[in-house]
Amino acid sequence: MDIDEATLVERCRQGDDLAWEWLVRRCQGRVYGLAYHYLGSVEDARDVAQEAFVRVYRQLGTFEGDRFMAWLLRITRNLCIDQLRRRRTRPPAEDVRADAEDDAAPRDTAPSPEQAWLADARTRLVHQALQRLDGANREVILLKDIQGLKLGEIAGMLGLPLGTVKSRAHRARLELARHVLAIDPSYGGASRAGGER
Amino acid sequence: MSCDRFTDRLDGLLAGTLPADERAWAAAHAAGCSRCGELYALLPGEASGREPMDVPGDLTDAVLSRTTGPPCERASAGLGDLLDDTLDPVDRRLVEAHLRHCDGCAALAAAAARLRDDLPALAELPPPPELADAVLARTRRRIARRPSAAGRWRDAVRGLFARPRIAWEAGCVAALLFWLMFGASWSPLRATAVEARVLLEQGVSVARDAGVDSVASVNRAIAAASERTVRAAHDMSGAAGRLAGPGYRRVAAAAPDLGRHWRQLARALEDRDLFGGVHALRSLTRDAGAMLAELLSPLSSTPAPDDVSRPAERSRP
Repeated sequence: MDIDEATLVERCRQGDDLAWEWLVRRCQGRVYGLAYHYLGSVEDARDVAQEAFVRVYRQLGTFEGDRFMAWLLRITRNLCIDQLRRRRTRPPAEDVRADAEDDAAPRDTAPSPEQAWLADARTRLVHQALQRLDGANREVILLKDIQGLKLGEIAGMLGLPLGTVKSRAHRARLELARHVLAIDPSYGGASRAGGER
Repeated sequence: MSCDRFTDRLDGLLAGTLPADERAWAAAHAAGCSRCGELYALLPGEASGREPMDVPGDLTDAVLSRTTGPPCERASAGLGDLLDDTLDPVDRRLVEAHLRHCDGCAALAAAAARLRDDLPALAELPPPPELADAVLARTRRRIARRPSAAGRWRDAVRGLFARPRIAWEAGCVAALLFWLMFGASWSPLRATAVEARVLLEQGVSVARDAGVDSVASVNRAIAAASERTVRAAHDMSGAAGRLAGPGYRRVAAAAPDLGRHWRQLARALEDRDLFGGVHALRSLTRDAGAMLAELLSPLSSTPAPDDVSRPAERSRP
């Protein structure tokens, strides 16, 4: 039986350790995934994900509303932006792109969870195409199509008008589709948009 | 009369709804009437019952290239709404019709549609096994204290310090405290800074005149200023001690609303109400000043530290 987020959050506010553990274990995959897509580094993603949970925990008393996941992802995104800003001051050698990591990974060791995740051909294809997008388009794809946030939430998060976010989301998805087709022209061949829906 | 009957049936011929016998009559009339025959010849093949003509496959492209150009950009603009099922019905039919005839746009639409299905799978990445344990280790010990007032107070202070303007606000508070300590007319430390500067200047000049090491002179000057500051603080604590007990009520009466203003400040901090906080802090400072003045009133018999020449003279080597 699954427990809804509102109940878990309320239990956490009352000091229920088990509810907090449940919440962390349930949400960690998405938080870690978002951080990884933003930062492209497993180490940074792990640190940011951990910091996001700690910050959410400290601010649980101030949370209002029923969209806990959106709030959690918003905090994660802000931490990722901070991390990217800090990274700009570092030598560029420390910035390792996600697709470059795969090439640099040792072949004779057991695959890490993210390597196993990227082993799926379609996931790897989409991930590679994502890396080719510019920052603004990738961000809106991450938030809308991957994390499933509402347009209004994304607009509030990015500080942009709703119409701008909507048009950017459509444009970004087509841009991503072009990149995917450039890598694999057969992608999407099995399905047909629009006419079959 | 026959021509009028033929004209009345033209719409039926075009729509293909004319009964077979009427259609045969119209064909026979058109064969015998030159004027109606010309009209009949203009009808499409389906309407007239003749075999339809094959349209050249590149005809549409040729026409578009000489008029509007390929409408692929316009179709792409509608693809997003088409995939999200938010497209106007008329636009939907137009875009779908274009997709049936444009391989490039059809492939793009198919890829975008598949992305819509594939992208959510990227939302979760298998986290490192130690992530949850690390988070729980950093939060578990705090969870029991959450509902307490101290916890709320601590969170409010943390929230305050997380704000970007905290440096500016801290600077204001520090300036206020500095003024209270060294600038207020009733502060016994008011002359300390001036004394220290005079001591330093005199110490350096004397050392220079005597050819003594200037660092040693500066150290002596600082030690003298420090001694005077400590003495002033000692006087204050002594006065506080003398006022303890019976004097407490007198001091407390000087600032009856001190506690209320403190609670207002705490509430403002918790609510992150900057203006309320500033107002409460101002009231609190005013009351604290009044209480401090009352507390230090026995010191008024001691000489005011406004004559900066005497300590300087005492520190002269």
